[in-house]
Amino acid sequence: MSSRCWERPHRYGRRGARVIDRNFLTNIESPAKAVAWGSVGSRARLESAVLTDPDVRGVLKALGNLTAQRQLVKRIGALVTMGGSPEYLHRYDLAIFAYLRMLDIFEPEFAAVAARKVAALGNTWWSRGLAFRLRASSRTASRDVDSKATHLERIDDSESVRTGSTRSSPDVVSSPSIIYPDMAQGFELAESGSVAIRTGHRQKTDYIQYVPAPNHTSPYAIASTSNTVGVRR
Amino acid sequence: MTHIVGQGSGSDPRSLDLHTQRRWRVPNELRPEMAPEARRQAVKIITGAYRTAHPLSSSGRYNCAGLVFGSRRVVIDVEHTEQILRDDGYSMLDADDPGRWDTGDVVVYRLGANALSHVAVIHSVKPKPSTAAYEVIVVSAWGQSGEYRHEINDVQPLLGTPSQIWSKRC
Repeated sequence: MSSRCWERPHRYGRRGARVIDRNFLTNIESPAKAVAWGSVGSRARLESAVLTDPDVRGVLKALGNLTAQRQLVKRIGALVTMGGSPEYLHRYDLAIFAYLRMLDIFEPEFAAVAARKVAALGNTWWSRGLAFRLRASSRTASRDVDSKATHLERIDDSESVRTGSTRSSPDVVSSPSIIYPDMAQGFELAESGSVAIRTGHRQKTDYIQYVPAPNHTSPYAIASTSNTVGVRR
Repeated sequence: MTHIVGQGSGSDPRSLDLHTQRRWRVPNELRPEMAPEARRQAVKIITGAYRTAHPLSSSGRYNCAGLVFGSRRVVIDVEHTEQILRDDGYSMLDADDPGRWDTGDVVVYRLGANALSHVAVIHSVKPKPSTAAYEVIVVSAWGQSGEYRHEINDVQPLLGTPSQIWSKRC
């Protein structure tokens, strides 16, 4: 681990007690935990398993503290580089998933920062889906989307999408490169559909029709933010 | 819940074309294989902890529903299980009468508030006169941690408990 806070938690002096107990992190990253969590058959079940895990709860107790949140971001950054051979599933895929999920509860912006690193990994599976989701639902992701606005401009220009505030909303995204960074070109079209978007207390329904962009790169969309968006096809 | 539009659908290049008999496309995804060392470790941990678990494959590319409905090729969210079973013409058997169960029947596990958690295929059903009960052996994939033949109730807690038996026989 590159972060000294991992190796020497007492470095934080008087506030050291608030820093995450190393034992919790060791347990979460252990092969036994990966086997247990990896046995589940759906993302919903994994999320449930993670959030009821005693070690995760131990970390969550400390995570109201900013130092602990930073420690977790650094830990994710370190784990990202420790995945083993890129042709195989990342060794710490599930631990990263758990950390991202925990951060998202307390500090979504930190989670989004960490998610950026995770989303770039080609050999994660559980954590990758969550990373895309976090990026999409954060302001950070919104800025990323703006930087990739050419796709959205093309969509608007084609008048094939009636999405209202798509570009200003952090809820709706973006180009295939965000979802599948390695497949930005030649991507097949996603399905068209109505997307109910709720921002704050407001909800609206937009219809997104996927059409080939002028240069034949394909627009792709994510509807996002926890518990607020439904996709109807 | 967040949705990624098109994830696991026909437009997703990490998905195989798989339909039920009623032509509903089953959302599925290809998952990277686990490293050989991690696979060996998973098998060791599970066989050490679950007395009846006998490893059949250490592959992590498919999950329980992917084994039963996807021919061991893909990951299928276990929450699609009931729709697939109904679309494919399965019918439910009495969950309290193992005498009517047979090889090939599908076992659905649930956890907590009735949430679908796991699915398995019955390998054998044998009466045990000594206990006046049945020994039911199933085959299932434990997520990415490998495929096992095991006693129907001998699964890790996160996989839930057997709650329904589905069959094509009736």
